[in-house]
Amino acid sequence: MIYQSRLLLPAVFVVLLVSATTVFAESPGYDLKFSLNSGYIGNLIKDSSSREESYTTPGASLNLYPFSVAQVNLIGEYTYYSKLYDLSNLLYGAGLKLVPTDDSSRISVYSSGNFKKRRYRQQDLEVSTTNTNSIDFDALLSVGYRLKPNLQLRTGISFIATDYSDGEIPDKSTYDLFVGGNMTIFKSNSLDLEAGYSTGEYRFAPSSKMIFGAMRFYGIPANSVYSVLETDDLKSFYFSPRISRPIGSRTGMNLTYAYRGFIDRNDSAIVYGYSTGVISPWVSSWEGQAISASIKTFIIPHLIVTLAAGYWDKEYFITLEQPYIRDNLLDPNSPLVPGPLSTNPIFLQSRHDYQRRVSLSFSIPLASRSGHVMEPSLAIDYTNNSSSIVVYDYTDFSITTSLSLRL
Amino acid sequence: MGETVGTPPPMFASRTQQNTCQLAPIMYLVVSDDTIAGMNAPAIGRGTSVNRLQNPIIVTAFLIILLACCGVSGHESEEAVQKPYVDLDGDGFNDNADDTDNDGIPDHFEKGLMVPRAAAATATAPRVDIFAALKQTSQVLTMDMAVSPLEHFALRQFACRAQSKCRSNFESEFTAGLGITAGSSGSHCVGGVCF
Repeated sequence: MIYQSRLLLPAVFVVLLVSATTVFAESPGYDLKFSLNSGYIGNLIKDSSSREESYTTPGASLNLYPFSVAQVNLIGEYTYYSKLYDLSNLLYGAGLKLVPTDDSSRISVYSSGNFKKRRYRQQDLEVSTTNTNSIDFDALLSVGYRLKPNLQLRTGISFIATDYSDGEIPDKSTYDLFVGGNMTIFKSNSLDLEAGYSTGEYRFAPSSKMIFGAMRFYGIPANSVYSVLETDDLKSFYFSPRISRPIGSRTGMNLTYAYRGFIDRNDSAIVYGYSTGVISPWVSSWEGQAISASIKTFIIPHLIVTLAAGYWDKEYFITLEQPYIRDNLLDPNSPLVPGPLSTNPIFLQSRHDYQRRVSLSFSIPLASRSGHVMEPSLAIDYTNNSSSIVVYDYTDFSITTSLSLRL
Repeated sequence: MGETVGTPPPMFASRTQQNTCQLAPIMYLVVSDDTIAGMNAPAIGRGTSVNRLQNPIIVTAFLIILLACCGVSGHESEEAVQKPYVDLDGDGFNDNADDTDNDGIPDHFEKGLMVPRAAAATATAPRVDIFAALKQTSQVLTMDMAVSPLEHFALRQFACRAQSKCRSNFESEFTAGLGITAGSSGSHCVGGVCF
């Protein structure tokens, strides 16, 4: 599927562009958005190396409405990093949404497809991983049914895929089936429950090869990095209840719990960790639970303030890692960096992370009489991640400023 | 360009697992060099997650929110209550509250926009207020009034706001309404890995 999409996606993109251009000439239905994001990231790579970085991202998106049931979306943005300049990248893509049902209908049908391509200024950088250009594709088809004004049911299927331009790196695709419901009880308490099942192929290294193979003692031989991988199905389920309600007259809150578990997990499956410099799309796959809460308030006139906190308890696959060493071996205070891949020992370890995160954001939307909206915003985010593998012990503090203009 | 699920459409709006299994194998394959970090990590077994959830800070925060949830009487203004309360985007506010200027703030929280719907079309400029002066005073759009494909689509999409994505990605769910984005697409990607 992924391999077919390599040819299919660019073709779809071209068709969308051409049709969008044609339609645009016939219909005045469009809206345009410009944005400029800039900020500071205390830990760019999200690991114990704690690389600080600042970035600027100008972007634009155009929505076209050829028919009352369709929206064609074109986006483009460029992220510029000030220190790791070669990591700067261009993201562009297109999407299509179809909503054939009327808004007053009890049944609502929604479908969408998006394609995005990310191109780095330069690949194979000396960062903790090997960057490579990639294409993301997602599609979704869902149906909703309004049983009562305050009771709605929904179900749908979605497909998400990442296709790396480097043919050696395994691509990732996931199918999701989900069902959910939302009901209002006791005046203004909203209860939302969603459950889902996911499946998709994944590539892993069997522990037998790791233990008895050539890579036992030092590094991963370059010609063995991906060739030792085996393929299996990764299946999981999740459920997530959420309650939301107003608190007082100008404040709203929600509390969300989520649990995800693998089905028939292969306990001997091993994935490449971040410190090896080898890309494994499944290094971030986890099972476990999460709880988060947020409070949104309009107490200050014209200002939207949102405070959120979350806690994650994640169990990952056994991870192959390469110990970090001091950048300057003579200086114990120098930053930790991954050691040379070919000369340093590697190790396997179960990975279990506990993450805490707090965020605070402010935005001031300014709407004009003509319908245009300008919105400056500020977001502050603090993350603390503790892991059974030191590589993933980190904290991150980031500040993001944003200015968007919707025409 | 990320799109917040549940935000009224442009221009209109309105309205432990106790894993009893064995500890996962921990296999150190080398090393005795002081300069190498990463090897001193304590092994945390798969069965410890329940205990860690009892972190006092987390539990306290959870209880505070729960108490707030149960003990504080939540209510919105009369105008908002007139329409059925539905909160599909989970922000704690009625999705059906009017937001004629589509700025994300319901009209009844904004001076100058607290205009009865019937009188909205003939409303005069509000009091001197730098923010309110920017506001438009158009009527809340309905499907009967929609004329362009853009307007029709916006209303249709608003009706589907709960089904435009699934919640399988727990991290993106957390950041969805916060405006925490490294790029305007809503993701932060470094070297082929997106956070």
